[in-house]
Amino acid sequence: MKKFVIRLFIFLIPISGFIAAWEYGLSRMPDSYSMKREHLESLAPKIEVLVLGPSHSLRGVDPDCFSMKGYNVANIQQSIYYDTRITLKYLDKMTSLKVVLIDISYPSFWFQVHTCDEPFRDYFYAREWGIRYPSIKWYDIHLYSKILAYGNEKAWNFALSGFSTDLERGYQENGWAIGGKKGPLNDSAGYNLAKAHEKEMKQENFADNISDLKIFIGELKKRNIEPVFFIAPYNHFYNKYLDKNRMKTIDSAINGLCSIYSCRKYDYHTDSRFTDEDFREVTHLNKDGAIKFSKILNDEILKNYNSPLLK
Amino acid sequence: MLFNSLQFLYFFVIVTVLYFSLTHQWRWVLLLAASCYFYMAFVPIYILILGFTIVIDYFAGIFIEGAQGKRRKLYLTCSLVANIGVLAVFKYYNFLNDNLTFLLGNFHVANPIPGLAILLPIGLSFHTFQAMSYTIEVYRGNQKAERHFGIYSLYVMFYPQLVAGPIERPQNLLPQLKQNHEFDYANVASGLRLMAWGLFKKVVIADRLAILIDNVYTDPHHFNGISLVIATLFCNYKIYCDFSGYTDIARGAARVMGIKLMQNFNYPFMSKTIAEFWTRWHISLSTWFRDYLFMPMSRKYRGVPGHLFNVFVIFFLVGLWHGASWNFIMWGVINGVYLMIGTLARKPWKAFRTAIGIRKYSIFSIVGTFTLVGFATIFFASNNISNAFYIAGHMFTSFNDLLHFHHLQFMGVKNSYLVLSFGLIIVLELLQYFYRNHSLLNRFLKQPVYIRWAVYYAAIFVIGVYGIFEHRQFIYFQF
Repeated sequence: MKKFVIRLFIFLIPISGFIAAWEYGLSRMPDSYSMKREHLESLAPKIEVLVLGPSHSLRGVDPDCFSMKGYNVANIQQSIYYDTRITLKYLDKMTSLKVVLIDISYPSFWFQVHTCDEPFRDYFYAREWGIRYPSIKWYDIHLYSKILAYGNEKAWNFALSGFSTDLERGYQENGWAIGGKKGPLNDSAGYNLAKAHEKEMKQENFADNISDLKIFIGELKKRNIEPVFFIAPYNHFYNKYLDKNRMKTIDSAINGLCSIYSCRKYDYHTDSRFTDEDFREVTHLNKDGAIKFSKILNDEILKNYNSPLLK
Repeated sequence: MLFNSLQFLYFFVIVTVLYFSLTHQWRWVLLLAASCYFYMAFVPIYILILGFTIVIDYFAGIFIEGAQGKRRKLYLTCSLVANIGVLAVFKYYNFLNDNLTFLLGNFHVANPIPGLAILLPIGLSFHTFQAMSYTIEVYRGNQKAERHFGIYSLYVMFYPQLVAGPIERPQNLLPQLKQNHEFDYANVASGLRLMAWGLFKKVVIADRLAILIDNVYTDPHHFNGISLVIATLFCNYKIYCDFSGYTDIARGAARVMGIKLMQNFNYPFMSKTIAEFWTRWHISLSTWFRDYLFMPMSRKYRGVPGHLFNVFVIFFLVGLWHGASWNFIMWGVINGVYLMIGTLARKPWKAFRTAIGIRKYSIFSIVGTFTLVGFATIFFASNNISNAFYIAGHMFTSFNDLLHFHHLQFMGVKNSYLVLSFGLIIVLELLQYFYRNHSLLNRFLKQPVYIRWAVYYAAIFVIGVYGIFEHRQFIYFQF
């Protein structure tokens, strides 16, 4: 047995070294969670409009197009749980906040990060934002290892890219991400993405998300901050494959919240002002589309507000 | 606790270290406690069901051994009824009830019998069959009744094979559980190699192929013939790599502790006939049915009609063993029909081959058998019987679309994924070919240590970096 233990020890030395170097590389890599937190913390007192939501608003809303000082805190696959927790955590510091734009995407009401195809994001909210999803325990090893948090394949791709970055391409200091790869705009892309989103939608999450929004809106109202719901524009190839019953449920859920808390709702998902030219793929706007959409948000939602900071 | 999880890695290391740290007299206690923990990691309360059948079969074994004449049969019957009863309630009750509801519905009559809102205990069919094999062997006089309750419990619950086999026989496993196994370098190294190979098949191949299969088989109506053919081909390999991967990990984990579990797969895709396939695929189950059902039935129903009847019944039950749904039954029946046709066509086919002067037909037979197995797999892998019929009916249509690769995009994968997946299948077949025909392992073990270690590092790297660790269950856990 002694021979085996010694050999095993020697055998494991290079593996341990390799893993340590890999972890080190990942730990020094900038990521969108730490950057967003840093920017939000530095801008907090000035922010008048906060944009929440998943990647549709991350890539589709440029706060610089607003007539008020805005910050886009949306992130890829950001759930309502994190939208509301992040805002509430910084609410006392955002002393100028007047409007919160809440992007409700197709999966939002049924979505939680731990049941999606990138559950690693939960660990980054815990590490970077200090917001731990209840099912994640303090002793979960994923909180302490970025290889495990990202998952082996993704972590290895970062290593191959020289641990350059985990930021969205074209990430801006106002939280907007301009770039990203251009994807196909066709029937199969629409079908695959709609099906992929369907897979991530779990009925058991619905009640929790509605309840989180109720508590959240109640807190905003107490501070005279207006919550505004919106649905971002989607390409017709994607819209074609959305479940109509789910869309009705989304509509009636938002209407229900709006009628209780007297808030506004804007639905752009089939807005004919957006054509194929505005999309970089079936669910996300490209740079020009995002600027167009942000200006529309400004004209239709924000223009009645007066920003003392911009005067 | 899945074999492809970090949890299991910790569990395995701790249990193995403790196993070799303890003296022989305490090892069964450790293994039994570890097996209970392993089982309870799924649904803790179901340990009570397992406990119930263990107690029944333990005493049944002792009573059968001590009894004479009809009483022996009575005790055996009690044991079998208890085991099959548990299976019937937890696995087949809702299936039978649903079918009754459907039948009565045709006559506009409501079914008054309520359904059960229960989860199927994990690996129920495996440990139930293993327990039944014990009482049957004691009844037949091939095995002495085990007096040590702890050792008998461990025979049913031994953690490596508890939830998905191999379904062991008491003659093989019980004596090994009583033996003192010293630490053996060769056993440990070979066990770890086998575990790594099983893990490679599961997380690198099976779970990668599963991505495309999930996309296509979940909703097959959107896919054309070539997509369905590719998904079905992948299904064959996915099920093989998933199940044989599990078996290798189980056998490897046991071998590390010096316990040798039976072989469950013997290159099934190299079979030249369906009959041969069933001697190479899930061997522990096929031999179970052969020894405990087919042989007794063969003595009762003789001749060609009797043989055909026996084959049909056995494969109907094989299908039903896998799952309480019509698609599994259909899968079993299709395999049974293949074998029945094989029996009827054996003589004419031999005469035909002699007449046209073909002696060897290996490669065509292998491809033909693989295709037939693949066709039956459609029913195994589909979510329901209607999807299975859709796939079976449409996989050979739309071949004018063959070159329209935009159809492949609907499968939700990139071209690089397809290339990698086919590449992995080729690598698997090549490794198996060289292992089988050119003593790959023996040659490898004769290489200097730096070459062996380089290969180990490469294997760990491939599993660690390219394996899919998304807690995907092993397919056979559901049975």
